[in-house]
Amino acid sequence: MRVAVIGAGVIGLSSALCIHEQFHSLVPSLELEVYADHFTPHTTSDGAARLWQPYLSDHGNLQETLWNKETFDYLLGHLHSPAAKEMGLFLISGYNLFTEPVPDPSWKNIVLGFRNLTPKELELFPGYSYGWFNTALMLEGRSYLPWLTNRLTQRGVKFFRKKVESFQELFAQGVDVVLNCSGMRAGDLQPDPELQPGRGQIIKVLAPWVKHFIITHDLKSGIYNSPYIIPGSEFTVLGGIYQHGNWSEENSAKDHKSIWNSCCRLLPPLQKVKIVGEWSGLRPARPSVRLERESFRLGNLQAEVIHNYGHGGFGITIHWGCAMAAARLFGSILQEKKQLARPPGPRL
Amino acid sequence: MASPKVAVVGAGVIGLSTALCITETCPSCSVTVLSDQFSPNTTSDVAAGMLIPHTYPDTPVHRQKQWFKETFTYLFAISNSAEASEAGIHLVSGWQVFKSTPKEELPFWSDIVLGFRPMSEAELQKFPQHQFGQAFTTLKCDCPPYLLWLEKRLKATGTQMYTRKVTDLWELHSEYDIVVNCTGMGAHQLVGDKQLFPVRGQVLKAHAPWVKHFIRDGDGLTYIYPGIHRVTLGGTREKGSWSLSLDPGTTRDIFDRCCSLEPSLQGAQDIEVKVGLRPSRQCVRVQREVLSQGGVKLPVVHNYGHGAGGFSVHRGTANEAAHLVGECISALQGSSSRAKL
Repeated sequence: MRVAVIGAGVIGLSSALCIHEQFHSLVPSLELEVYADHFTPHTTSDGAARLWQPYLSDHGNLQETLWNKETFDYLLGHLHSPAAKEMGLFLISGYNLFTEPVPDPSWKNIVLGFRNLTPKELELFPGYSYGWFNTALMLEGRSYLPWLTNRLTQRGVKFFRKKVESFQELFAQGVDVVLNCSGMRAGDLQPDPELQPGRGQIIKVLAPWVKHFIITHDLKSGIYNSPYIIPGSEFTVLGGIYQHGNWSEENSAKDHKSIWNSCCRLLPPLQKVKIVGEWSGLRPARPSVRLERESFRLGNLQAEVIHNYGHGGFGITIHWGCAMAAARLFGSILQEKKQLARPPGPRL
Repeated sequence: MASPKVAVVGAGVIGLSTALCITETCPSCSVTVLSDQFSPNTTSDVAAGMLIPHTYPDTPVHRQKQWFKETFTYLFAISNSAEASEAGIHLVSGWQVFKSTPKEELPFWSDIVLGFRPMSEAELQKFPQHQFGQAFTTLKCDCPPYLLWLEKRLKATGTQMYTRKVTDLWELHSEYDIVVNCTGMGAHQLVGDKQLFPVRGQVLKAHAPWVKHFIRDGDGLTYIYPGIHRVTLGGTREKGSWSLSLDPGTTRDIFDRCCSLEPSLQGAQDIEVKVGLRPSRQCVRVQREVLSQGGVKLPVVHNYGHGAGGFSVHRGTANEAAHLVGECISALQGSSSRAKL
């Protein structure tokens, strides 16, 4: 049973790990391979700020809220394990700010200590009259992706630096199941007009005295188009750009200025900090995550693709819930192929 | 008295902030800071600088609350300004946890810090040995940055600072009109205050930049306070111990206690060990006195004995001491005009 994962960002690697953890002892013939043209630290996942926080509204997509919760609970469970530091996992508290009262988010009971801001706290943020405080989790890409890679390598999963041009290419090599975790470039493998880039740009600064995340919201301009400040373990990320449909991965001077000015207004002490980097990336945005099976008929063989892409700006937030859902889909494929009952034998 | 000459003895957080308050309330004063130690070698430099008050048994609660409130308000304004990073002042959130529910669930300062509330069941799960907890956001003054910033502000007002060990306040009477005694533990020797006693504290300063919250055990013995570059892990409260040597057994014990509150600290690097003697007293001595010797008078304002709570109340006590200096000046001007008659 050959399984090929396309994509080595957080979705590809975590799906691979989840499937291997659940099935390698049940399917002795399981061979798992990861194909990608970019590996850490050059994936979209690496650039992200890595804060667990869903969008403000789930638009009635309860499935995604559940996957978010599963991810948070999974990570929280690892917080006190010796692996936490290596994973880049730690607790972080902070502020979500609004210019008007808003309904509580779907995730208010998932995070810890969710509450409204007091008037005195709001004094810190002139121009914002309402807000939330809560404790959430950070999962730093610089650490988590290498950690996932190590876990997979230890399990004998093979990695190939290769740009896969089509699913058929892999099927022709004898792959039985493809896990399509290609993120932004899923459209190259199979056209998907619903998948669009949500371009973001961030500035990395040294501001080790910032201990809280601060995320502002402008309900008119939409998610992440309002300044945010997210402190990591080595540097702090300043952002606030979300450009739907923009495919450019070049840093824009105009966006730099917008991020810098708005973040310094939000947190005046930032004016004196040292800038250590800048990055642009494309959030693989979709009205909802594409997490489903697709069967392909090749002569008298049936090959399967499990799609797991389109996680927008909440990939880290939802990744483990999606990985488990992908593993469940894989399980149902195995049932259909009666792989779980059959001892290893020659391929037909 | 055209330009009263004021000597402030002591250059820890109390001495420097008192000197600064004096320059603010009495711009015509000429202020000089004298100390045998300056940052980074003061007791203040060892402290974490967390704004979580210590309770003084013999100081009325309303006075302690006033001191804390003034200090918090003052630092809150700086934390939100462009100077915050230079001054070393930043907000930090976290938890105070108790193994058994405390008698006083609402400390006197709960409405001064931000967002004070009891911890939820889910939050307490992170602390399996603790039954009850409080979550809030407060301020931290990192040293040396805060002391260096105070020194910079003082120099800008023309205040002179000299390294000098003062062994007797009377040494100063010929050069200065008023002496302000902010010598902390040094007051034991300098003014013979036997009510002042050391409470030895050993701490570790570690590199663990993923720790973004403070955690404090309600017993005050074990705490984790994340600063700008390092996390302070503590501690000990050894009443009556004058020892400034580092104890390796204590280091191991502090590290173990902190790791049981925050397991990820096992990965902490570059651990530095420090010791300080908290200048402790049943009540902080903020008081005016006129010393007299052979017909010569020397007005003295005392501001010492802050024990474990120096940072939490420093600005409030500095304000009070500065007012007392003002009273000394009025008294001197009163008596000098009487002398003219």
